[in-house]
Order: sequence, then structure tokens, then C-alpha cells
Amino acid sequence: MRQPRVGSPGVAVSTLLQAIVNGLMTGSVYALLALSIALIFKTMDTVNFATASMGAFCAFLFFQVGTVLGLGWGAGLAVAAAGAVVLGWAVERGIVRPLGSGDLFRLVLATMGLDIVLNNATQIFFGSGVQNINAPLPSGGLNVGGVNVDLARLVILGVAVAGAVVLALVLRYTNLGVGMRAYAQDPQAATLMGVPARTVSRWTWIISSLLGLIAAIMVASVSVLSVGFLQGTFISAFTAAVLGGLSSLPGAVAGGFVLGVLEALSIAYAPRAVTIALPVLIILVVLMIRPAGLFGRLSATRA
Amino acid sequence: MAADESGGLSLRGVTAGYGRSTVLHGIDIEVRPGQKVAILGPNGAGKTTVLRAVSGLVGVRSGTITLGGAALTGRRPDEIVKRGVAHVPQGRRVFPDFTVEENLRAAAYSRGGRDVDDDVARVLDAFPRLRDRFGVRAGFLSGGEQQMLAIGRAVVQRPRIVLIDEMSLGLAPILIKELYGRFDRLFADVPAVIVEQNPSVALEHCSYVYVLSNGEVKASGPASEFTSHERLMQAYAGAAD
Ligand SMILES: Nc1ncnc2c1ncn2[C@@H]1O[C@H](COP(=O)(O)OP(=O)(O)O)[C@@H](O)[C@H]1O
Ligand SMILES: [Mg+2]
Repeated sequence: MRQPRVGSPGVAVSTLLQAIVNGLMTGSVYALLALSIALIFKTMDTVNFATASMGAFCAFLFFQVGTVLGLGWGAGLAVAAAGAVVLGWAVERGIVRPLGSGDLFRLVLATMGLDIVLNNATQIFFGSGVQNINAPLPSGGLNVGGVNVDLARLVILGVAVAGAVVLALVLRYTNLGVGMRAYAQDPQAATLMGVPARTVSRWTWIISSLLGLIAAIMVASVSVLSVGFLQGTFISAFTAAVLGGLSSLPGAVAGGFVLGVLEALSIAYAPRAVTIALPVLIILVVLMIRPAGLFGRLSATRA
Repeated sequence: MAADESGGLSLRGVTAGYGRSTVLHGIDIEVRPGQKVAILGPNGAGKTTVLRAVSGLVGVRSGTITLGGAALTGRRPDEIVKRGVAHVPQGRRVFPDFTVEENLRAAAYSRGGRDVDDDVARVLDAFPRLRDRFGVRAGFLSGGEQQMLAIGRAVVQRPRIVLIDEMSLGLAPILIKELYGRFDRLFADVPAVIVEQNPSVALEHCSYVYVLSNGEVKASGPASEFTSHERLMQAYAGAAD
């Protein structure tokens, strides 16, 4: 491996590569949380603006059980996952179902309200301190051709990819997954095939909640845990989902990685203001040029 | 009553509608085991709503619907499917992003998606064109192929009764004839309710007819009584009042 000299083309190339590698790693988190958003939009026709606070609440459970109570991260993960399932179930049963599906605006308002409630609940239960969750991730990094690959972030990328693959397998090969995909295309036709609307709704929220939990723990393990800590990531993930067409799951994943890389490139090459405004800029550009996103189609209207 | 106990479908005084408007005003319809019954009538008569009431997509306000003597009224659509009602909806409503194969497999949802291979083979034997299009997404099929697929889904559902809505809509006469022929053979022993705007086709394939208009049964009787043009026109004219 030759050491690039300052000012040589090697430096420029490795800066670019470094930005791309960093971007892919951050992007994997966006991708996972974007999947959580897109899954709900695809099946339920609404955006869950409580995505971040639901995931964050469960990440606090993870910290509370694993670290504060000292039961270890395995127990923490089990309790947090159970919490995510219960929370997803409760939100569907208590808010989504009573409000009825098909009314995007009502549900959006309801999830915004839920977001406020959950953030306050998090603060009341777990305090407003800033915590370090000490996730069992490797430290240090690899140097690959002048590009530094952080091991912790590499594991996170692996977990995100694994999460996306598991979701794809569930949707493709389980009966419930087939029913969910059928329902997303035509709720009434799916009902006539015997797919129960409430089962689809319930599992969509539970799975989405679990994806949110994984993303929340991933973010917390490379930064810190505090009330509202996932909000910024949510905005990026929402942007990624819009970029991918909002109702396309492969689109959400691609959108996550694209946004991660664009963000890293803007950090490396553009003024800070551009990086901050990037999600908004991207949403504007997508809405103006290609409202269906990179992967979405402007689908036929439902009867 | 005999129809009820041995697996027929029975609607008694069914009133149903959407929101505040009432579409069906006390409908009585009887389908005996193995019988093919046609529901004819002009556009907007309430034919589709009758089928939707049976499959639970529209709430029944009063009256009862029973299959084999057991009440369907008040049950969820997925429960009604489980009890053996296959509803091939108006406009086919195949899943556009699913391939032909995935559409057929999705129809076995109620039994956990299992044991579909024999049913799929039966569908492909009846509709060889679907075999050629097996891996193609249903959104890319022609209208006729989509109708074959929609009928194929009903085969996979292994129903005790089939409801089919406007099978012939938008299709060429020769294709309509073929589809009805296949339908008769695929569901030879299964009772069926066949909704049609095109009376001559339905009359050929059904033994009993109901003429519906403005949400009421205006005439009913054996299909043979309606084969004369005048009788049908009379019923339609009565319907138009
Ligand atoms: N989803 C709906 N909401 C409100 N009214 C409807 C709906 N579907 C049908 N209708 C009304 O119910 C009546 C009967 O419609 P339908 O059962 O579709 O008739 P047909 O199938 O005989 O053409 C029509 O007046 C129609 O406007
Ligand atoms: Mg109709």
C-alpha cells in the first residue's frame, strides 16, 4: 500500500472514498428506519410521525434493563424487543384501528400527538439525562487502501442489511407476508382472498416498531441516548423514504444509502449549511422533478 | 329450507347500503346446492351490492344471509371467505404487482398458503394462456387474461359457493363464450351467483334468474321463462319504473 502524499491525486481519491464509505455506514441506519416508515405507508397509507419516539422509548428500555439494572445486553435486547412489539400492537389497537384506515390526515395528526406523548413519557420514565449505552460493538478500525473503516459502524451496517434481508424474506415467503403485500396493492381484493385487515394492520405496526427499535439502538450505540435523540435520524430516514418513493421498500433502502452518501459528500466538500439543509433540499427536488421517487411508481388509483 | 341445510345460499329481506344511502331494499334470493343463479339488471340496480353484502364488504342493516344454514351476516369478510364464499369482483381486481403464480398462491391465504400445487395445475389446465404468462406480473395481462386469473383465484379458494360479478365486461364475444365454458367446468358442482348486464350470456349458463332494479327484485323465475326476449324486456321495463 503506497502512502498518498499530501496534494497528490491519491489524497483526493481517498477523501472521496472515505466520504462514500462513511456515507454508506450512516446510510444503512437511514435505510432501516426508512423501511419502518415505508412499510407503514405502503400498507396503511399513512406516515407514522411517532416512528422516532417509539424506537427511542424502546432503546431506553434496552439501556434501562441492560445497563442500569445490570442484566446485560441480551436481556436488554429481549425486553426492548418485547416492548417494541407491545408498543406497536398498542398503537395499532388503541389509535390506528379506532380512527379507521384510509384517512391519511387524521392518522398523521394522531401520530404527531403520539410523538409528543411518547417523548414526554420517555422523559418521565427515564429522565432527561444523556446516556452512553456501551453497546457491545468492536472498537478501532480497519485501514483499507487509505480509507478508514470503523468497525463498530461496519457491524451496524451488517445489522441493518440483515434486518432488511429478514424483512424481505418474511414478506416474500410467509403467508402473513404475502397477505401484507396483497393488502398493500388492493385492500379489498386481499380481503376477498381471506386476508384479515386487522391482522395486516397489527403486524405492519409491530414489524415497523421493531425496525424502529433496531435503528434506535444502532444510532444510540454510536452517539448517545437522550430524549428525542432519534428525531434528526427520523428526518433523514423520512427523506430517504421519499427519495425511494415512500411506498417502495427497495426504494427506501436505496434512498437511505443514497442520502447517507450525499450527506457524507456534502460534509467533505460543501459548506455546513448545505449539509444541514440537505434533507429539505432533497425532498423539494424529489417533489418537483420526480414525485414518485427513484423507485416508486405513481400507482393506479384504488377503487 | 332444504337448500339451507345442504349448502345453499339464502338472502332473506336483505337491506344494505353505503353511508346514509340505502341501496338494497329487502332482497330475497335463494341459491340451491349446485344451482347457477343469474342476477340481471341495469347499471346501478344494486347487483354488485348484493354480492358485497354476501361477502361482508357492505354491512347488512336488516335481514339475514345464510350459507348451508349458518349465518354469514355480521361476520367479517375474511371469516366469510373461510366459510367457503369466493367472490370474483367486478373489474377482476387481480394484484397488479404479483405474478400470475403469486396471485394464485395468495388466494390460499385462508388455509395458510398451503396445498396450492394441485389447484394451480387445475387452473393452468383450464387456462393454458396463464401457463405462458405464469411469471408475468398481473398488471401486464390483458383484460381476458386477468379475468382468467381472477377465476383461477376462486378455484384455489376451493369455495362452497362462487359469486362472480360482470365476467363478460369489456371482453370480446368469443372470449366470453370460452370463459363461461371454462367456468361451468371448473365449478360444475359448485353453486354460483352470476351477475351480468349481458342477459343472453347469463341465461345460457344459469337455471334461475333474478331481475334487479333500484335495489329490489322485480322478477324472478327459471331461466327458460326468460329466454323469450319479450319476457325479459317486460321484466326490465318493470324494473325501469
Ligand atoms: N362505494 C359506494 N358508495 C356509495 N354508493 C355506492 C357505492 N357503490 C355503489 N353505490 C351506489 O349503489 C347503487 C348500486 O350500485 P351497484 O351495486 O354497484 O349496482 P350495479 O352493480 O347493479 O351496477 C348505485 O346507485 C351506486 O351509485
Ligand atoms: Mg356492478
